[in-house]
Amino acid sequence: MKKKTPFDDIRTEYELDYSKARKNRFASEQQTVSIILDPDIASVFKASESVNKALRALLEAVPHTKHCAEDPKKDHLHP
Amino acid sequence: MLTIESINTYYGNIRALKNISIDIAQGEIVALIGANGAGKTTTLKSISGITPPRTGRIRFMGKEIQNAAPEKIVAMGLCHVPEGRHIFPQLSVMENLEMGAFLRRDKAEIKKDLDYIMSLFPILAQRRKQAGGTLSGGEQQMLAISRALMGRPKLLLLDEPSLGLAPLIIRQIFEIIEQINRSGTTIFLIEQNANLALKSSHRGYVMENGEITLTDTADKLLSNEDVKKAYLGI
Repeated sequence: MKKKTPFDDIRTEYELDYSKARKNRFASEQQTVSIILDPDIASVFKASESVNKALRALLEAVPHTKHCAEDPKKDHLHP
Repeated sequence: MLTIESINTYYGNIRALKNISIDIAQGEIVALIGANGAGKTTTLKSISGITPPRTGRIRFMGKEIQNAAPEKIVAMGLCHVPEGRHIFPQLSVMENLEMGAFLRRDKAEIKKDLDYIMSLFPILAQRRKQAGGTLSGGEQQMLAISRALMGRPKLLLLDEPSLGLAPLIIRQIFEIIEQINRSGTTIFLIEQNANLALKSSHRGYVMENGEITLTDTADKLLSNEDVKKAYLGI
């Protein structure tokens, strides 16, 4: 039986198995992430700086999320 | 098949692509032409997930891929032949081809694809045990295209396939590109050699300073006075 992959839209002859994957020690750490803004939000926030400023204010305002900034992989507002 | 909607790609603070929108239908050969530094390579890298766009959407076969990892994009059927070939010089021709099928598990079909590639490029069959780095420029380009074909692409992205090759070899490479297209693979091609690219394509896009400035059928672009003056040297 074919092993399940984390993706449902890749072709059946493919298998993406990360079980033996190791971090590339020569690659630099990913510092940024691309997020798609919905049109109504994008009409207000027109640059990365303004989005970052607003979200930093949100981190300050919501104490629970502030200390969780150390775990960037998790979306702490939607656990 | 591929729809790019208003993508913006950055290198640090430099905006390399400005609201690029491109459509590619199944079965087409589409050329993207433009001067050096216009953003053609960045466009291909944005599609294949190497330099993902900061904003905008890319849909391939109806799925959004602008945030997908490159290996997932390959597994969905989109393969990229990079500028300058980037074959593995120390590996043999056969091993280079096997690397193109690295993520596949259907061994019998991989064997069939190898046979197909050897019939498409008989020179690679002759050189199957030879190290990739010892091949001529044209043969390396054939190997790079073949390695991508081993991923069984539905859409093949070709970055400057004529770069650094002799005219006779270029003609041979483009005949093979057309043959690959006739066998059912859609092709998105970028070239500085606009005349050659448009003669082999159904449609074309013209890119300047990170923006698409013109799009039309290849025949119309070939007879467009501005394109003639700027890119065809006429």
